[in-house]
Amino acid sequence: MLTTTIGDALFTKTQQRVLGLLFGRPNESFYTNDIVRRADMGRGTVRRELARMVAAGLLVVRKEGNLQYYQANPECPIYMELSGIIRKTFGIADMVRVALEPLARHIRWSFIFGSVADGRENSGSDIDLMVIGDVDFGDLVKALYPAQEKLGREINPKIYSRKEWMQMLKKKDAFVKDVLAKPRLNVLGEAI
Amino acid sequence: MSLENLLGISLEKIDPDVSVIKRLLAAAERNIVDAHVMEISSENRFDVAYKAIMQLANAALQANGYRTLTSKPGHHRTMIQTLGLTIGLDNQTVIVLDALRKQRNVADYSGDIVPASAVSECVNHAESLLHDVNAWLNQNRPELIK
Repeated sequence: MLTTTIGDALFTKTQQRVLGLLFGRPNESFYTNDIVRRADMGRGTVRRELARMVAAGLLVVRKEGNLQYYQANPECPIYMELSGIIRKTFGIADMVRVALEPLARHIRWSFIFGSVADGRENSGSDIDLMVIGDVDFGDLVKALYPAQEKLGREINPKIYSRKEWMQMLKKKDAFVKDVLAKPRLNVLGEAI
Repeated sequence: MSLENLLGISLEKIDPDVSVIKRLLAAAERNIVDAHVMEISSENRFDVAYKAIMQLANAALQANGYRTLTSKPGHHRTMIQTLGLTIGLDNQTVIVLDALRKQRNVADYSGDIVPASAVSECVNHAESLLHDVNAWLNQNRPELIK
């Protein structure tokens, strides 16, 4: 297993949390204290990062009363590329991975598919999660619940045993074929 | 949140009707038996088990003197999410039941195969909910199931 993730090599934890939140929900804006709370990092470092990202044009800020609202800046020249990096490294997939870690030994392969994986999602889209292994449905749902709250989105897991998955592959099941032909974000394990 | 707070939003007040509650419990029991029929598809086993969960949650709500407002969407969600208030079901179980509700929505609209893991979870939860609702009624509203 890798000891460093791509996300960790490129960005600090604070940057990851701030970018993950704001680029993960690009149609919404968040005020400072809300970002600090969700990022669960020090107020000082979060404020510093926000100021730098605004100065660089990655974020826009608007004042409402005495609150400052921050939002991803779609006019930023690398908006698309940055969104892609975040999605593939420390965005949603990373939060789901952290949530699944305690169950990792029961999971052969897990990935996100559907609109979140191919970048067509809007902020209200459910997260479609495939899990292949011998994990218990109830345990999985309970493990995912905190991530679901943090992301503000519903996570819809589909759990197949390895045997079920192999049978569907063999039968060239339409659903499995479709899922495998489209973009995926890997969460845990490797393709079977 | 209390059931009272949901009045007019998703619930309305009723007088609990013994025959309605008995019918719902009997239907749930029949559906749980059907959920064990291995000759039908996993999808249909899942569906009947889920239906039993809904009937039980509905019976619990009605025994408390409420029912879902027919004019508002999201009855299933309301019935599941009020189980903590109606029979004191623990939050973790409510989370799993709510996830089963979503599984059913997705399967209904996508036609995807319902995995065996979801079927067995749904059947197990229907059975334990039958037990929990009956235990609650016996303890708190025995006159409704005499």
